[in-house]
Amino acid sequence: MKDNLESFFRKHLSDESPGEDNWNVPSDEVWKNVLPEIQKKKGIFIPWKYFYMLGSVILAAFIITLFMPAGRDNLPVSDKETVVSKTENTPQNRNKNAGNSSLTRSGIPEEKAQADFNDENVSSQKNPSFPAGPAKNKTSVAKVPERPGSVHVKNQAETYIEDFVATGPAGFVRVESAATIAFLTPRLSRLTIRDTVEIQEDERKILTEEPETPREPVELKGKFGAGLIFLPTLTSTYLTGEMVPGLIKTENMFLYSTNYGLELKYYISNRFALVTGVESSEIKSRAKSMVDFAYDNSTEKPMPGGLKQNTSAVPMPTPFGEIETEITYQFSASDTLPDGEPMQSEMETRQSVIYFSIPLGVEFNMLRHYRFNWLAEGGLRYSRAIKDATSFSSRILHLGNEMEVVEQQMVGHPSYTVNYLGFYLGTGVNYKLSGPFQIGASARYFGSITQINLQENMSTYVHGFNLKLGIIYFF
Amino acid sequence: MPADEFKIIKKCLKNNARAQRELYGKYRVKWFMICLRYGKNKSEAEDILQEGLISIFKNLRQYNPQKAEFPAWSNKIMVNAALQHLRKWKKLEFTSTIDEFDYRFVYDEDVYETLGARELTLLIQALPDGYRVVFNMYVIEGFKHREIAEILEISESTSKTQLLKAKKMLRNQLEKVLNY
Repeated sequence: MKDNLESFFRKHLSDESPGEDNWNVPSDEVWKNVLPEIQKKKGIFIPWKYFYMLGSVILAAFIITLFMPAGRDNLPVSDKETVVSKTENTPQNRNKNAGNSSLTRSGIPEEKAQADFNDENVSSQKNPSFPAGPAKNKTSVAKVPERPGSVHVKNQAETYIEDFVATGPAGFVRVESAATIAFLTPRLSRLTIRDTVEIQEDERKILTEEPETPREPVELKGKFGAGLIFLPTLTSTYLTGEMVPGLIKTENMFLYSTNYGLELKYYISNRFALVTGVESSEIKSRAKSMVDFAYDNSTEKPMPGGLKQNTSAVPMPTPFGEIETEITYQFSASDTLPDGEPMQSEMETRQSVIYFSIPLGVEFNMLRHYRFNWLAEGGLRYSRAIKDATSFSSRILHLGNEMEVVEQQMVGHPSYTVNYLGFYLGTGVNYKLSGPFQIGASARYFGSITQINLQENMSTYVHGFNLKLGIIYFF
Repeated sequence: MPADEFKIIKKCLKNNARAQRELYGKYRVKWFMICLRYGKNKSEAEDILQEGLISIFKNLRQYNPQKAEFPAWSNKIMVNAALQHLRKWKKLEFTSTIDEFDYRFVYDEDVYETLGARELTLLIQALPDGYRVVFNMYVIEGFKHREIAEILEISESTSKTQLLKAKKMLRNQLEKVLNY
């Protein structure tokens, strides 16, 4: 006879062999459902929101570029050619005309025209030798209404002014409204001969001068370059999900690190470039943890000076995963700590993981001006951890009293995620030097898409800012 | 830890599907019996097992052979999975009144020899959720009332009450079964 229900149940339930009709064997469905879950790679998901952000930046850049006032310098080369071809009054044509003929615009020999301007007020004279019709320039010019009660014959000055107003000095088509010309003509027709001659001289000067070459944006399409980049960086780790037991504090502060690498760039058009390369990047974090552990008196040893020493293996949670530590501490020999006595370890970790990274991104030149480009950039960055540099300091506490730590070492590295995927977005400028070099600087925000570590239900992510300074050599 | 089991676990850490299947095959009955005790029926037990297995394999890296045997470590995870499942899907209710203190259970070994693990598991499954959880944690897993109170966020006296009631109910059920 026994009087213990507990031992009765314990005894009978300890039989762990499969039952006759497999009552205690799970169905095959269980394993079929579990296998894909445990085979699933950690943390790969499509970060649509970042793609949307990148898309929005590129779209905004495109719209800005599209609606930017298209000044002469901003026009593409082909467009400029179109404008020039619309008029025959190009500087080149004028030069040609000036060289080949001494005819004035109204078709009168220049000497004769000069002789005709023997009065100060040319508008008061009737001179039948001046044609009364509008300027012969092909540019459309509004017809000036005659003043009532006066017979007005256009003199050379008027013709010139009409021509000048209509075409402008640089030879581009400029059509003024009829009202403007009507307003200007009576006033300008009172110009003196001296004025007219000065204007003519100015025009001649313009015609004979070499036209100023507009500063075309430097041609980049098809250029391939390689160069060095240097990235002063500020990174911060942040945790999401449930805090791992023992991890009491992580400092979400930005810590400085220096990244550098090699960049390869290929311009698929004057505006778009594909960018890749290799980089050495670094993530730093600081954390505090407080963990409980049981005192093991089997490793206790007496020390000279009335002291006892013990070494405890203390697992310590960090944002990068748990690390194994061994901490040796000492206390008074008069203190007796029983086996299993609850102890506490308070630790501070300074972690730094160095990654080998491969970025893949695009650069979009939003504004191109001669050698200078204002760009938006974005892309993805794959990183693989290559070196872990973790250091820590610890305090051992028993009932709140601190014991002297004499030695501490890390015996197991954190189990952080070896590979992670990140993104970056930024804006900056680059400048094509006269040789084959281009220098650039851009400010970027970056973050991790997949977590850099996953412990139970807690994930660690990273984000930060950096400044990319680079020099590229174009082949 | 046996050397072959150590090798299997190492392969599991490298995400080797065959090793994972092997480890599962070795412990599936043990794990499933835990789930059967915490669940109301086989279907619920399979849900718990599924969650527990995912947790075991995903946390395998945290397992330290120097600290605990693998069966003990994995059983603990399975029990945690069962508790999480019950918390997630059911509202665990614990009543704190003790109406009877008669928990002495007297049985004749010969008579009860006819009862096996299956029958006892069915009796446990028939207990209300609160009774069942405390009974399993105290009697089978060996937790102390203080620990149960902490884990389930109840008072120690509630834990004791639940256990007493569970025992009383089980005793009644056993008597009914035997009289039948």
